[in-house]
Amino acid sequence: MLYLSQLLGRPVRDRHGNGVARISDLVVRLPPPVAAVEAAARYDTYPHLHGLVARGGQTAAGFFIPLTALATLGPGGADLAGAMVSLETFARRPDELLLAGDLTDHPIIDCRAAVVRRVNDLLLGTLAEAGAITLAQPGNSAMPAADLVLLAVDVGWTGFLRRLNLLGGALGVLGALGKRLMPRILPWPDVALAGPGGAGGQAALRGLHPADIARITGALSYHEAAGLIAALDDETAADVMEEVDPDRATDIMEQLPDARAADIIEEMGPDDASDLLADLPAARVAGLLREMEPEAADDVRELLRYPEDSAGGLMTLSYITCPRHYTVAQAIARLREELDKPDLIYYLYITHGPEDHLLGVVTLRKLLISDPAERMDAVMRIDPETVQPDENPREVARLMAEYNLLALPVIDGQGRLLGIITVDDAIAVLLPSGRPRKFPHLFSP
Amino acid sequence: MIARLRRGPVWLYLAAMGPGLIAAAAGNDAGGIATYATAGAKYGYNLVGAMILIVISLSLVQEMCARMGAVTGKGLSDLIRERFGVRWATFATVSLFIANAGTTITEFVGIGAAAEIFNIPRWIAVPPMAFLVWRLVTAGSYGRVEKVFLAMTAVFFSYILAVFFAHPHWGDVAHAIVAPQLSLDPVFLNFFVALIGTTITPYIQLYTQASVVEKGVTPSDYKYERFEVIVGVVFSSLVSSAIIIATAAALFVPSGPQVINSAADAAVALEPVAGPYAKILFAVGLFGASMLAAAVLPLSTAYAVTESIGFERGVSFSFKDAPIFVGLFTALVILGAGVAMIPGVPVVALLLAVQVINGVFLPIELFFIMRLINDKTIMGRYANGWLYNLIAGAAVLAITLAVILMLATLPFAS
Repeated sequence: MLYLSQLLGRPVRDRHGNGVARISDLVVRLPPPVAAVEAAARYDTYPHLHGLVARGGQTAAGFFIPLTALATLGPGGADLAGAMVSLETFARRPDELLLAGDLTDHPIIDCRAAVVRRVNDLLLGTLAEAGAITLAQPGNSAMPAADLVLLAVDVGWTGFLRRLNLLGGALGVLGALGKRLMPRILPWPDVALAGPGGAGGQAALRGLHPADIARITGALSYHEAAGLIAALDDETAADVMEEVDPDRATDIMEQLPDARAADIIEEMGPDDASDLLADLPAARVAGLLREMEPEAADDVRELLRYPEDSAGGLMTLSYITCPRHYTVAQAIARLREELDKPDLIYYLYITHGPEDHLLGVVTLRKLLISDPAERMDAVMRIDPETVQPDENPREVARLMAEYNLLALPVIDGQGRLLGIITVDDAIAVLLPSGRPRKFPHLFSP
Repeated sequence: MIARLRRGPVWLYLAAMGPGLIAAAAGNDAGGIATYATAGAKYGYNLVGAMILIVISLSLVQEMCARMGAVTGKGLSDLIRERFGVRWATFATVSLFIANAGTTITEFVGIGAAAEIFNIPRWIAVPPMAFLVWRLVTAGSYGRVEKVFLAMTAVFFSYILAVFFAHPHWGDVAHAIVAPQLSLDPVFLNFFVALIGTTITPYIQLYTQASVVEKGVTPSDYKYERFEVIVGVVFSSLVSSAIIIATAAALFVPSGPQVINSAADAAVALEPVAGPYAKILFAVGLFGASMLAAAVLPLSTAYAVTESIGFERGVSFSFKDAPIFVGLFTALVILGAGVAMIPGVPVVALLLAVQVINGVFLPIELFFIMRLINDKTIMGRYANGWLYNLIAGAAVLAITLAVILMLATLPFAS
């Protein structure tokens, strides 16, 4: 195994052993994205060495030496395979990663611990060595360049001290004190890139909970956070955005192109989506709404009419209604059909007419213990607790606490059902600012 | 859930107050007041002109750091590590650490000096205050009391009033501004570097950039941030210039320069305004500013060091979770309080010496700032224009020159 710090600045030698340039960077190729289940088992999640960038001779710019032109790589330097190397100036392609330029000293995501760490050094080796990286000792012999992959990331003290050429001294001092310095090395499959890097570098993220990814975006710069969100699929990105701190969420949205941002917002709950849009400039909101599916855009538009600090601002349009003449069996069937839509299915709202006048509410529990042949208006609780859209959010929270409700319907002056407020959004009102505003939805799949 | 420092209450709060205001208040800490007061007492109005040039440099440097924070979303130590690698980052961090450790000492000296005005000995006042600062920060409740310390520093605005009460010779002041008299005398150069060091304190740049990042400022709303930063600089420089003019009017005697012996001597200049209460007023302000900086400074130093090494990003204040971060913070508080308690420490000489150290390390930091702000790969179209570079470059060059001259003449100082 070899550390990147052992290679940088070392000579590139031709077949006669004459130094022709110096190693300035190593280029690896990110593996193409694979399905999550496969990723864990497949060996080729490791980026393979693709070539190196060398500097020297007459040219000031770095030139690229492809893998095919390299024989071996080691602490003594790189040995070229052929006599000739074409001096093409290095230009990076999208699936390539520069080990010194892009990774070293930059933040990465440790997906095991769900935290951001800084790269001190990088460990290269053959795939056969992938199992033994925790005991990684720097190698002292040259290795065939074609076999090299990026095995692991060194984020510990040992890597830091090695870069400063202080490792030997530090180990000596600590050894004299009877202490040891444990290396902290993350195998590449547990690492995700902080920032864009394409989906190929982000397979490890799939093991993380959206709330963890949201927390991680807080420890990154907004560019990196936006790159991270962009590398996720729409659904995961939406789940993450629902949990991200509101200020950070607007900064991230500013960085994403309209089409992508609209795709993500569509997947968010309409209440979270409207909260997010409310903080964006009006011109941008109009553009995003145009890009969204008309139905989802209408829901968000509807919610945007209400000020953020009102019952209307808290409510969501995700709920299930059913007419009064339905039987319990029909209602359960409808519930089953729409199960993928709302976040909260504990309540079924009984409405009347095309304008959804609220008549009553049936709990899931009531539905399950009732006779399947019974009509809804016979089992429903009439005159449920409701609020108007301009109600104070604190009053909403108080009502929900007093009546032990999981959701509270919002109606207008004519008794038409406008939306519901779920308990997670109501609790958030009562929390001191600076606390996480969002909770995991209680009844989400 | 782990309480995160980065977007946690303390930083969120600090950021919400505006970096400008905090930077202004923290700039006029014990070291600042001692330096400005000595400037007035020793050199009269002569350094007011130099002060204007220093303040222009400060606003340029502060603006560049705020802009870097908004454009990159990263702190200064982050950027140094990512663009220049681990060696330069370590060099910058170690020099910053030395300067900040010195400045932390002066904050506790300031707390002790404020206590002594009330006839409370230093060795009684400093330990409980050091523990209070440590406890407030590690318990995460610092943000709630910070407002109190900040309000206390408002007292220093009375120096602006004092200027008018002191009836300075405005003609002399104007003359000093138009034709500042600089000399190559080692003592003067040493003092000049101290003045630079305390006004453009290296840690304030890190602090401003970190707060801009905390606030989530992006290029689209940067213009408000720039306004805030400039306002902060203007306010802090009004106060510091007022201290120089007021003490010059009160203490400067052309025949034999007056020497300031304790930070409290600077209170004399407030007597025209506050009469017998001048010392009490001064002590309140000094205490507030020192407590403010005694918490912010070790905190941001510990943060910058751990960030640049790359450990414990986004962690709690518990020793178990973040031993290096909490350890550094604790060590800085103990060091600061410990040195400040040594009996018979020559207070003003110590305060000035630390400002000189700050001044010596400043060119290192400015060098990195100038390199980064012109790095198109991170700054894009927000990099400096040629005119900006010309002016900022001249300022950096002048500061560096002053430091080199000072170091070169140091052996000749008596």
